[in-house]
Amino acid sequence: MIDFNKDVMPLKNKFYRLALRLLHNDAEAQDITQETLIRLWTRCGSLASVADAENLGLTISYNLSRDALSRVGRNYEPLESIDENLVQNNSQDIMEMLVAADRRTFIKKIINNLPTKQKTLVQLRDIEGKSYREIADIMQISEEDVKITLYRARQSLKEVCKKSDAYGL
Amino acid sequence: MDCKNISNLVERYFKCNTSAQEEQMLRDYFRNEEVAEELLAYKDLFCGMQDEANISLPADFDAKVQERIKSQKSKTPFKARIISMNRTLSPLYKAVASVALVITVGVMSGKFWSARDPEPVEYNYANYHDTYSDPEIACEKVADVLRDLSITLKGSEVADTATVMTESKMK
Repeated sequence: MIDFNKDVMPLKNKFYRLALRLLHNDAEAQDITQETLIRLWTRCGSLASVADAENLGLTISYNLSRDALSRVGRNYEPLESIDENLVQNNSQDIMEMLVAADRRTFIKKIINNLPTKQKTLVQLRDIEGKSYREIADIMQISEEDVKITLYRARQSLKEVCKKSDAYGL
Repeated sequence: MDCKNISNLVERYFKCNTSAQEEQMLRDYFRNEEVAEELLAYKDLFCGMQDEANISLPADFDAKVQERIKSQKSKTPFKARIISMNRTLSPLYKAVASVALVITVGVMSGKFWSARDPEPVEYNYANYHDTYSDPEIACEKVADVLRDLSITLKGSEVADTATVMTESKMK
């Protein structure tokens, strides 16, 4: 038995980041995160551990985001400037902040250009640090599929990095 | 950390042969240490991924969620009940019972009405009506009836004499 406010609420940012990654739209991602949390709240009694809650939440967030995507038919305009204060920046140095902002634009651009499935995998593996098993559960695909798709995603990330280093993007 | 080791790790990373810990090691390396020249191309990628993990919701988000939970709580919850087979079929039973009842009552009342004795015989001659308007046909009918009667009577007479004869014989 887990406590909603103590155990589930701290996971909200993970659900939000996944929805944001897929939708590129802050308002829509917030709505989906809210819906995810409400659904988790109603099922709180049947969840055994925090890890269960986290994976279930990610599954719900992933499915809701995909539904939203199919509803609008990929017509979301990628928001170029997600609110700057979304990212907690601890460094005071203005130069470092600029570099960080630059980097954020870069990473957003290269990950967001990937197909939905690859994008989700990069988000779950490289950003949230999930295991292959957990990712397979969350996305309801096989572990083999996870590895193959992640391989493709990383290969294309590598290509983009090399290109941008050679010519400047 | 050894530069060769790291570039090896990067190669394995792109081939998806690294564990989650090794990937974390890579991210730490790119963020905290002097990155070797040939790996600089990937610095933005690895550091950027760490930045992405820090994106968080605005502060007023929690309040919105709590409000929605409160409104959900105020709705009366539906409680699931297990309904037995008999209970599910009870309307059917009721329908069958009422149809059976109607049929029984119908049949019984029909029987009751038909069981009542037919027209009682009228003995009062004053109430008699003419049955035939043509006297000739009436006369014929009466003659018919009388003939039938005489035949029957004759038959019974024969039977009577026969029994009398057998009785006297037996004596």
